[in-house]
Amino acid sequence: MTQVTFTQADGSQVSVEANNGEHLMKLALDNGVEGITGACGGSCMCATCHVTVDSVTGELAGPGEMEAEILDMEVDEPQETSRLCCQVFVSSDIDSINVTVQEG
Amino acid sequence: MNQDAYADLTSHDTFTKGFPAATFKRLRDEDPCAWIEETDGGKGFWAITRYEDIKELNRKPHIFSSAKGIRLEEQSEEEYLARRTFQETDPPEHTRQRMILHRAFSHKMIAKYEDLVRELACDVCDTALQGNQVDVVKEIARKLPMRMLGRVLGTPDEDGEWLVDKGDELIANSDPEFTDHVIDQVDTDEYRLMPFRSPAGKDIYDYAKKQMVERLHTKMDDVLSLLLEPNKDGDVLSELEFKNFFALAVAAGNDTTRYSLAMSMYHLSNQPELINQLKGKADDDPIWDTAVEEFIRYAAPTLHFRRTALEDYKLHGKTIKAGDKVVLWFTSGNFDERQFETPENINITRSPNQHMAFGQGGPHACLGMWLARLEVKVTLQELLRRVDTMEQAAPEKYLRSNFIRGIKSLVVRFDKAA
Repeated sequence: MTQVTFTQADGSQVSVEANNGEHLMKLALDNGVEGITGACGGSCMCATCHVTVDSVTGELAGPGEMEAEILDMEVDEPQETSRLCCQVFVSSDIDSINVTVQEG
Repeated sequence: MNQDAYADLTSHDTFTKGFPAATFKRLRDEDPCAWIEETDGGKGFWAITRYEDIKELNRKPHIFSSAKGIRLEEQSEEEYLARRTFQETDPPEHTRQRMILHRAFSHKMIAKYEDLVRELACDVCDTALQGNQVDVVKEIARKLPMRMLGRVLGTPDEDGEWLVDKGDELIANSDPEFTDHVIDQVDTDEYRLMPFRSPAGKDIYDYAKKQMVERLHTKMDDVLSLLLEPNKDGDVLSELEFKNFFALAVAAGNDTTRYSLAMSMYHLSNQPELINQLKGKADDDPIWDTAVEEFIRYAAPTLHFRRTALEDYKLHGKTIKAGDKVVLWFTSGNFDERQFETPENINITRSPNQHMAFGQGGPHACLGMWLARLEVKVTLQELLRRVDTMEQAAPEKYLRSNFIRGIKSLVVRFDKAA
């Protein structure tokens, strides 16, 4: 199990325990995280699940080529830690991950 | 809604009687991975009708390929190679072209069109709402996307009507109202290498070539010019890729938004409380976004896309064999009670609303989804600014197609806003 914490725009947090293989967009939608709409359903085709990664305990692979390109096209000023959370999968390599919901 | 629980999903005629909701419900409940025989010589297909199953298969393009056709029609290799668009490819080939096109259809890029959509929507609504009764599909839903597409692509306004007629001939190739070459009624073999096996395909190819040559000669500030530019890796679309994309844009860019708008107006005309909920709301009120998602969920104009299994796959105790056609009925997924509470009802505040009208979740999620959402939202806003009431005045007519679902005629009586 991995502890995933979303910080919403108003500063409040939603914390959930997640199973391996789940992506953060699904977790956000299932748990009513504000600001994550996932308009493309997790196809890596929009940035309505844009987050910044605040901290990770464990190993998280960086964004793939397509994800980086979409971030570049869809987000005004993507940050170093910007991710599309439909592309961030929970795995046994990650004990916990904290992200902040961003405009997308 | 068509209440026949045993409707023939392969027949275009089935869909002229309305959406076969009872048949899809029976399949979802009793046989969610059903083998359906085809009566027109096709070899049959697996019908996938539950939301979760469609989602699962849609995100496995390495097993369920788009590269052997995306409609029920059986294609020869020759036809496939001549007519394929990026819709008929799999990653990574698909990704290359998709990302070239995405530059022009990103959320950020499309948001810049809001003022233009509003200007066109005002004009279309003012023209359509002059009396007190109008066919809102013909005069609003069909007009707006056509004019907008022309502006986005960069084709002259005066060509709009011609292009939408050609687009209808292509995608509504099974409805005699839109084409003389009805695909299941006359011999279309001569046109087998043209988009949608239609003679209109050649006209569109020729038109696209002309647009391409003009822009290669003089760059213009439009989407077609943008698409002809090399991407950051120096990659460019080939002439055939460009022509097939143009044909796809003219066909798919017109009618699906039309039928989403048509379905929205059908509900507004039959449920006055919806007008009360929306009328007077500020243009940036979040209810517009949830309402548009809900109308599009219900409209789900693309009934299905087909895939072809590349390996054996087990689902609900059945074995889908390598080579079998597998049909993802996205429309059925949008009415799956396992995913949506009271899916047969319109709830314009439904949230979350992870519908699959745009094929969300797979690599082929609709390129034009942001444009479609924007057009539906702004048109409904401008319509409801101008009317106080809407009431359906004659039975609606449905498109004859087992591929695209839509109301092609909807006569509405209205009271203009004071």
